[in-house]
Amino acid sequence: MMRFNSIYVVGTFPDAANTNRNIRAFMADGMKEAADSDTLVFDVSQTQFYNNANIGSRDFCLFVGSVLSPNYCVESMLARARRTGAKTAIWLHDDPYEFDACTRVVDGVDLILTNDRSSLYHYNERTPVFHMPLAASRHFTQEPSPTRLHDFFFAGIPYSNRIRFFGEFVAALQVDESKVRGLLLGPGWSLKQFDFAIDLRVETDELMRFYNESLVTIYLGRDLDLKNERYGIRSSTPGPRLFEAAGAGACQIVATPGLEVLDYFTPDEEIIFVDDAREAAAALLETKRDRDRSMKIGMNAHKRVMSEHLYVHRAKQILRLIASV
Amino acid sequence: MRIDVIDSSYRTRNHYLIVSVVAALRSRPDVSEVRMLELADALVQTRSRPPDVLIVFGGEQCENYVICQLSRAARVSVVWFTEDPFEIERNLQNHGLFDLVFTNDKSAAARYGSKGHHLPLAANAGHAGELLPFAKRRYDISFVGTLWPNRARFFAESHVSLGNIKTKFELVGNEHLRAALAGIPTPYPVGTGVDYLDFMRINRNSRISLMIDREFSGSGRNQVSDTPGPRFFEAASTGACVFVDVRGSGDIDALGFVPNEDYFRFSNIAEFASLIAEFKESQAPFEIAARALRDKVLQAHTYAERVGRILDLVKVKLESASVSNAATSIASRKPKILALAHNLPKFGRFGGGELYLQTLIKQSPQYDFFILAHDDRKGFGKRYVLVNMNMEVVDELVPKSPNSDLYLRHEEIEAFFLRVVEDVDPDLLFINHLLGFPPAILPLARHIGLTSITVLHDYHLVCDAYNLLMADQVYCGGYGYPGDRCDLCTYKRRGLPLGSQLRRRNFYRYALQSSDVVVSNSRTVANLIGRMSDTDLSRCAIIEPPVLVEASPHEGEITGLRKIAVIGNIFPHKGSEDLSEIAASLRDLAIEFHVFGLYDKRLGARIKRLKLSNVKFHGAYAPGKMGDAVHSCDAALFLSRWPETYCMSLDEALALGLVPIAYRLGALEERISDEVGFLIEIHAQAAVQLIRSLHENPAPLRQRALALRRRAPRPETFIPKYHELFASVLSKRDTRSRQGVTKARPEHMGLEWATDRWDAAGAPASHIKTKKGAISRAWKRMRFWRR
Repeated sequence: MMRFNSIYVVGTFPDAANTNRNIRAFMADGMKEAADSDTLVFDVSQTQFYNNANIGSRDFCLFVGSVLSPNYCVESMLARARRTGAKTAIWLHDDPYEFDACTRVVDGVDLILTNDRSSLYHYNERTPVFHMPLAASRHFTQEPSPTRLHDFFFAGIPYSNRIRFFGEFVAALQVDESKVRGLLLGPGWSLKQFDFAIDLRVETDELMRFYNESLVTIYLGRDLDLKNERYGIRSSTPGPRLFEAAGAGACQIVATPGLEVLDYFTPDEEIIFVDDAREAAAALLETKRDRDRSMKIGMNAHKRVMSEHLYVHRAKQILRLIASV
Repeated sequence: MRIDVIDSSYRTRNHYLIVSVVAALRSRPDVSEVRMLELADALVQTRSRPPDVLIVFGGEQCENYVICQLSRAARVSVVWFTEDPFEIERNLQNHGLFDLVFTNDKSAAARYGSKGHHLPLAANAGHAGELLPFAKRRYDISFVGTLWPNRARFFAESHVSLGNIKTKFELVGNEHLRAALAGIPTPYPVGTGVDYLDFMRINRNSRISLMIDREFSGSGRNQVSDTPGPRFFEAASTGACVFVDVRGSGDIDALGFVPNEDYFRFSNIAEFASLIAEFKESQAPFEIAARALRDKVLQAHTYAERVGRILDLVKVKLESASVSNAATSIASRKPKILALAHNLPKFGRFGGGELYLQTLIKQSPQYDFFILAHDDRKGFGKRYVLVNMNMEVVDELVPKSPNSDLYLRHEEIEAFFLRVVEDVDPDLLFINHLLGFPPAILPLARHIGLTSITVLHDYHLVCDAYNLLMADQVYCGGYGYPGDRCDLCTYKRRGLPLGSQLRRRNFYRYALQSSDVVVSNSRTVANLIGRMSDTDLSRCAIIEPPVLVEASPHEGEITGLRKIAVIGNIFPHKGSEDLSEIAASLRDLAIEFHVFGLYDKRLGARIKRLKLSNVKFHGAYAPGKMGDAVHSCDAALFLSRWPETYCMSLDEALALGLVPIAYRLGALEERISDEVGFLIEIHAQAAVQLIRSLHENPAPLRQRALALRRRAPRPETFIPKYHELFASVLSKRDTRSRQGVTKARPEHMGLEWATDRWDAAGAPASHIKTKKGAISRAWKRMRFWRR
């Protein structure tokens, strides 16, 4: 493995505008674990990068984040890092939803990492590109709690596919006339539409508690493209919430149109994989009847995350890749 | 054999197919190199090394300029049309561009004459994956695709016959179909679908894969291909048993597949229901068929096999092809240079930038120059003219929507630029100044393969305040990123929202990097612009401007400092306010300041108000002809508050043997050494202190004046260096004619990330509404500083 004096994990745009900045912090923590003990690892905001980072030719700059906004100067940051002779990589974590914007950076780094496997084939070939799913932070992992306060829990923004899903899900639950305690959490959910929804964004530790204390956590993908017109790529890799919830000991019902999730978790052992809202409702009712199932799946998922899907695992892989390019 | 592959469509849902084709080509030992090109810069990529073979994939939009140019340059050009028969009429119009034509549709092949060959799409063996036994598969039956009306009817009618078998139907909604689907019940949820790789995963996990082709056309002309599409081969390669609705799925048997042995067919719901009933009864025959089909596809219907068929015919063509198809018709004629200028001397107001271009043109008779100029006499962005060597207007554009310095794109001006390129057919684009033009011109030039040289006359490429003076007329220091300071400054100067300057700099940076060669008057300026935009300009060409005055130093001995020349147009950015302060501070000494050139009216008024008799104004002058008064001066004062990019007035002072005293800033700092002049801090009192000291003790002044006289005059390197640069750039130019360049598609430039203007997101340039008078007020402010 290549030895670096310092590794900078750098945000691609100002922290003030970045609601996902914890991903960078998690990655920096993972990198600290993965790097040699004498390598310094810094979690660096855009401003700190310009004002304080003293990058040299034996350093590695890993940029993490979105490149969508034309207001931010990611190309300039990459150029500045490269000029020092440092190795550079960018981990784009909003593919394929912002894929068209990636043309800004494809020629500016030594290595591109995309969070989405289906986007991998659409990059031009001038820069090496590898698939790197997001992951879970070790700091927010725990074994499942025997206290399961909520029957089902979901956290996320109400994209149209999610609203549609919960409409069908609730309808399917009512067919069974079951009394189910659910919680739908995220900015923008309407209480008028779902009486178990709360229009709220919570801190990471609070979110992990919900994952940990729910009988099942529902995982859904997203269908909101921001700049994905050129190839109209459909996302295939699940987002970070899947790994975070699993790490927090959640028993997840996963309803994604694609099957890539099965590359990360074994169905019926580490997750409950379903094909639609009706199956999800049936799976919830079954888990309500067999509460041990929730504990068992949550524990298995937690173990899988601890062994394969922490940011430290991604960091080790990134260090191997950057050494090879 | 070197091969270039390009998708003719910029926007496509089938990009994964070309990736498979490229992978298959790379696996062949007879292919030494495969490049996958992008429409945005394919012409630049291939300019110096055209390939032996060009393979254009898809064929849609292949009449675009880039594809036309590429096909001319390759020794053998091939197209693989993948949308026949739906696009046959359009493809027939374009197939003449190519030496070989392959089509996905059997009957279409004959319509391309002797060039035409049938080549169905195929499967990528590398994506087929491991064969799962039926027992381990998750789904009984799967389907992935758009919910066309015929499919919607099928699912509505077949729903009951499926019973309780496990289905995976990923149906994709399409808003254009809402009317056509009205009244058809949909028993399955409709979503956004899955990507190719998930399609393969789903099929690998399905016992049956359903094939129902589309029977719907927006034009109302329903057509079907006589050859199965890629999905048939892809699904089959995974080991799924394929059930085909033969009403629209092409002649599968013609490709060597046997019904009921390799695949199963149905032509109505009853037949489908009967197949499902058989499947429910026993899956074994279907599993055997699925294996047989997979084997056949992986043996004879992969992209490796298809590529082999293409290359067999290509090799025959290559034997008879010339070394290069590249048109050399323009290689022997006088090279043409298209210059972009923000102003012309004939329009009245002009400065160093215009003289620069004029001198270059006059002294370069071996090139034919054309100038595309911004004529701002009636306002910014309201008129553009094309003039020839004799300065005659040969074409003009009066945009319906005037350009603004806030715009990054301007559709009409970009189209006019392409028209000019087609008419002039230049070998080189010389950007003397980009002011007045949308910066997208530069990436557009790159897109059409036109080599460009950009000259840095000022800081326009990094800031709209192109002399880098802030609202209070103080030099900003040339900050790079982060641009919070720059954004605040822009807000204070122009009231533009925060984020604007960064957006501008990002785009202009991209534009600058699209230029093949950058020329700077001085290293200092190149470094500053490089730093501000984080662009590597270390290899940019440094060419000093032309020598406009001959050396004629006065020979008399300097006995003291009594008269100081202030040369050049003296406005606030050139230190007019500092001059009045210096003159006032030194009124007690017998020192006069002689101002040569235009000056700020406010300076004159202030001098009058302060009753400063030590300042004399001599008015405007022709370069080097300042009259006798200048010969009695002992030194020259340069009070520019902005980092000059060169300062031609300094040339004049040095030619006259006047010892320069200047602020330590910009090119002046680089050009004035301690041996011949004085550099001081950027403050009027620093000048006062130095002048006072030199008045008391003129020895250092005398010493520098003698050194100045001994110094050889600046050699004229401007023209020789430019001719050397032109020769070097033109030797690598694209010699293909630019006929048809107006068919270039600016939307293929790869600027999806950018907005059309830098002060607000999203709005296209043609729809911009600004506060009444805002632009003209901004322009007035700019014009003031431009003097």
